[in-house]
Amino acid sequence: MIKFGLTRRSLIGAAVASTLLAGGAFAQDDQTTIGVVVKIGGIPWFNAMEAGIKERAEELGVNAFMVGPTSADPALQVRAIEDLIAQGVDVIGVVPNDAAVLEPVLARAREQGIHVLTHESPDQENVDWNFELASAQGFGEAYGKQLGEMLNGQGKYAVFVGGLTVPLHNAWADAAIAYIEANYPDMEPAGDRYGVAEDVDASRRTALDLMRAHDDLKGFLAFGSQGPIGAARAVEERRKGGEVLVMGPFSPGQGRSLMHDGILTGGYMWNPKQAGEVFVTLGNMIANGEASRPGWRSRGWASSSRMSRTRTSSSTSWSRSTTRPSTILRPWASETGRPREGLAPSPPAPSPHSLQHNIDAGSSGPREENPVMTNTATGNGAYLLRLEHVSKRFGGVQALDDITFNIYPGEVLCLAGENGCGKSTLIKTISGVHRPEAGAVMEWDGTDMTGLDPAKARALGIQVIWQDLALFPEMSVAENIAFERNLGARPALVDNRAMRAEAGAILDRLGVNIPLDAPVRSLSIANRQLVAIARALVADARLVFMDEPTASLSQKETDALIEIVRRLSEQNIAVVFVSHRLKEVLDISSRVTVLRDGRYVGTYPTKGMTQARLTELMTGSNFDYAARPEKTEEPSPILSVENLSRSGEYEDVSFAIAPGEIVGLTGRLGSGRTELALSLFGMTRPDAGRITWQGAPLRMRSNRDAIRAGIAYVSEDRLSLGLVQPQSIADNTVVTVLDRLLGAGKLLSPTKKQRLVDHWIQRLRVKVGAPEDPVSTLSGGNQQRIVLSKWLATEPRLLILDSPTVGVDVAPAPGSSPSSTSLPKRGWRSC
Amino acid sequence: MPKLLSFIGPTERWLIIVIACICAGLALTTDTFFTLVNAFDLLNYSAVNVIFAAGLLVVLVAGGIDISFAVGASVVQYLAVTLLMQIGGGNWALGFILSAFLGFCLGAINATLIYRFRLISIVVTIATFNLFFGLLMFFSGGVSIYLLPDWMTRRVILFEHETAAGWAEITLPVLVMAVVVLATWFLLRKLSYGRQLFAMGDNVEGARRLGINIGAMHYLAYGWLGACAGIAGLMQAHHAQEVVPNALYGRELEVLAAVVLGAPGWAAGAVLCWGRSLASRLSPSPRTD
Repeated sequence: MIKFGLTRRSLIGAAVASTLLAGGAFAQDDQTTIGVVVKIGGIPWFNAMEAGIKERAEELGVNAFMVGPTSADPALQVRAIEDLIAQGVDVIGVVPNDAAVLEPVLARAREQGIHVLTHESPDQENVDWNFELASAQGFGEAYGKQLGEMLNGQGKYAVFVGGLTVPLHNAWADAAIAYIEANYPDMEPAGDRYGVAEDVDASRRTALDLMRAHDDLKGFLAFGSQGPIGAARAVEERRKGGEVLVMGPFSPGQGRSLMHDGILTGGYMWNPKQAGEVFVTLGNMIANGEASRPGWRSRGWASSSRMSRTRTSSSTSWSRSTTRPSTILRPWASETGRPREGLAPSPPAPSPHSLQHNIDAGSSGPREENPVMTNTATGNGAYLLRLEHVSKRFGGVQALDDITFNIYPGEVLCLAGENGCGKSTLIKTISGVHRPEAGAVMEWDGTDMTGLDPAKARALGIQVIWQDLALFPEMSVAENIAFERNLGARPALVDNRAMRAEAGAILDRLGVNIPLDAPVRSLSIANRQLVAIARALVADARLVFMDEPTASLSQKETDALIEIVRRLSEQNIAVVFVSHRLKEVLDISSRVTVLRDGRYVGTYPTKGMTQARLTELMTGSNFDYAARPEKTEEPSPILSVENLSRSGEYEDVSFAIAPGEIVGLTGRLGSGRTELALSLFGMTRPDAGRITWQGAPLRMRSNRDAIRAGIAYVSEDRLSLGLVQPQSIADNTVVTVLDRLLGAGKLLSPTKKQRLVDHWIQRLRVKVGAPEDPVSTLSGGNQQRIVLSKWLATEPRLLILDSPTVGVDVAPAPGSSPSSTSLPKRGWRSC
Repeated sequence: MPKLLSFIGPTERWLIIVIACICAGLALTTDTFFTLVNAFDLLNYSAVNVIFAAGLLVVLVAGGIDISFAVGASVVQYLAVTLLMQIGGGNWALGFILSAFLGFCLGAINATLIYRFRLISIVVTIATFNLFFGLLMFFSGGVSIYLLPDWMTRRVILFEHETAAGWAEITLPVLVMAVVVLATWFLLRKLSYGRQLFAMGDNVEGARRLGINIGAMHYLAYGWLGACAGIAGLMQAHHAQEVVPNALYGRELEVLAAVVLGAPGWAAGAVLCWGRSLASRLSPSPRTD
């Protein structure tokens, strides 16, 4: 995780510098520019240093600013220094997080003629000057001495540093530990040093862990300005103030309450503001060629500062100042502890913190409450719903064109038509999802109902059971059925008991038995359908649309559904049934309304209607359902399967398919039809048996091998698995054959793509606005054609269609029987 | 599996088993793990993350995701403390109200962008994550606030007990965590709005067709998370006794991991937050950054 940010002030500083550069003013005006990169921005220590830099810069009339990364990370310092080099500053000052990491970038700065000045970095090589306000040796030893004295030479102690690579902290720690080892042999360090002291919370957590792990821990030596604060808070939390000592350099403003409570027991420090002043003064002098003599002293802080010149070019190390450090070290309480500007001064806190399933039998039989009415709706009486001149356009597609649609109370009416004829659009218009074009007449119970929205439609009693059911799979059956209780309920509390009672009563009324607490995802498709129907009935429905309700049901389940539809009709609820199964349509409904290509064809009584006549009305042409002439010669099979078995799915299956042949594969739901198809498509591997493909045994590791061999598979759930909904029609069509569309330079050729898309749209008569529209704009039937064209585009030798008639037109999809392709057609219905 | 535990899903069961094994292992190998002090430490340290997790759960249930809540909490900390100091310090009640309100406002920004412009929640919240953090860094200058109102920095101890291993304490953030968790549970399980959130997360198209106000649900979900994040920020500032602009940066990943792995079993989310603390306890070698 990269955390980097410059302080606002430094950003402004940078902006000023670059403005000067851009205007050429930089060169004319001989003002010295000094940029100081510190360990971390935003903490009091460096805020104070920044105050010193600003103050002295103003005094001397130089341009000096500070840059602080958001965390004590050497890499961020490298970036900041690179920025300063790019700005062309005269002097770069650094308080390093890691001396070694900075060497290369500092060397680069010096190659550019920029002077480099460091602080708290005794062993830095690529610098002109390093300055310390105290000697590392003396500073560390003083801490060691103080801790040893306060603990009487007994007990364990822990050492924190700002980071394991921070030069000065580790020099201090080395000196302190060495001093303690030499003078207090009974004291013992708790582990090695911990690099947490630039972060209060890390210091605190580490201190808590250490105190828990070491009962006899008596003291913390924390170098790094946040370490003493964090360790002291941990000691406070453990109520070991006075028992465990905390020492280290910190800002008095930040530590005031801890000092007051006696938890922070001691520390030597200097005022970081002075370091800021040194950076500017010394930087300015170096830039002006004034600071070339070792041992130079500045006014104001001369007595407390020692500087040594680094021998810049030689590789020998810096020689430590030999001056005795005792005059340099100052306990915070005596001098530097005074609140200072920039240190957030305020009086200490006034006081230390205070210590301190199944439907149950009882609900059966409400069916009798509803008046039983017979279906008298055969042409007399008032319409429940009357629609005239209803039209709807979507972009370039005329979805509905002057539709008339009427329904009587309690009637079962069938809405018939091919895919894409506008059935779904009509339902959406009636349920308020779409607004019809102006000029439409829409009446409900004799009153005008134009300007409908979904909520109003439901209030009137219009309910739609969508093909996708619109259920909530993770929620329980009871909640799905009685969900409307949650809408606008006052009070907004959920009453689970009432919900269950309501759902149970509805299911009883339908005469079905579904566990109320089961999540809907665990139900079969048929039961989900029933849940959707039950939900529609909760809201006192008077008109229920069922969009393809039988599409995924077995024969037995369909019969049960038809029985339920009859029962609804008896309860004076009108049902509009949309189905492709013409036999069902004729069985169940009293009238049928036919649409074709978005236009109204007519409404006919089902008495006397035949499937053939209905098909003709729907398609506008006559179909001959006579069997194809059987081929006399026996060509060699393209695919043959012998004794194919897969444990738990299918067993001992054998058959052969000739080129151009259409083979139906039938069985109950769960009989292994889909499973067998998946094996033929290479998605699963059979346990036993042989597959022979064009005379040679076929072994497939995955369905890619199958596609390569020329086998295509259109899944049962075409819409969710077969299409990338938000992508365009064109992209969906060509997704299987992208490698054939490569043009020059192995790039996709738009011309080839266009040709292919046009070919299939035309061949399968897909009704589209433009090939660039998203697939999701197409009607269900047209989407299916796109899925089909996608696979036909691979020019398969064998096309496996899983449940091809789910929602497919009565008219055979043109182009689905090219002579070179054999189509094993799998009927989906159980026998 | 006894019937009593049947409501615990299989994922959660595994998590509980794994965490139990880790705890048993630690209890056997060190003598300081299985102590009241350590248990309460874990509780105190997990409180902030659990408050975040409770809010995030609401957004996940509603079918969205949020990356920006942790830096949002930093923004709330900064604004709340600055405002409180300007009016002379304030008190706990004011602090809670202000933090929750500011957090809600940041959540509402996310909800507006996601709902009005029909954008994907992860894209929006990654953007607002950067926006919030960038603006915070710009306006704060990266400078931490150490001068907090006294009530905020004073530790509030609700329960204390002296053991052989030291003082064991339950502090204010644990109580706040319990209240937030309870309120979230009440929202999701007992209020019709919560059920609508569930429905929206389960099937947004179905929810829209039923007439659920999808826009209002967005504001509820992201606003709830925002308010929880604001309160978590207040608790973190209280616990740390300072406001550091980047202190919560990166926390969203820990919380997301815990909640996503734990979802939908909310208990497991909490347990996992514990697990995280456990993990951090397993490796006492601290970060060196």
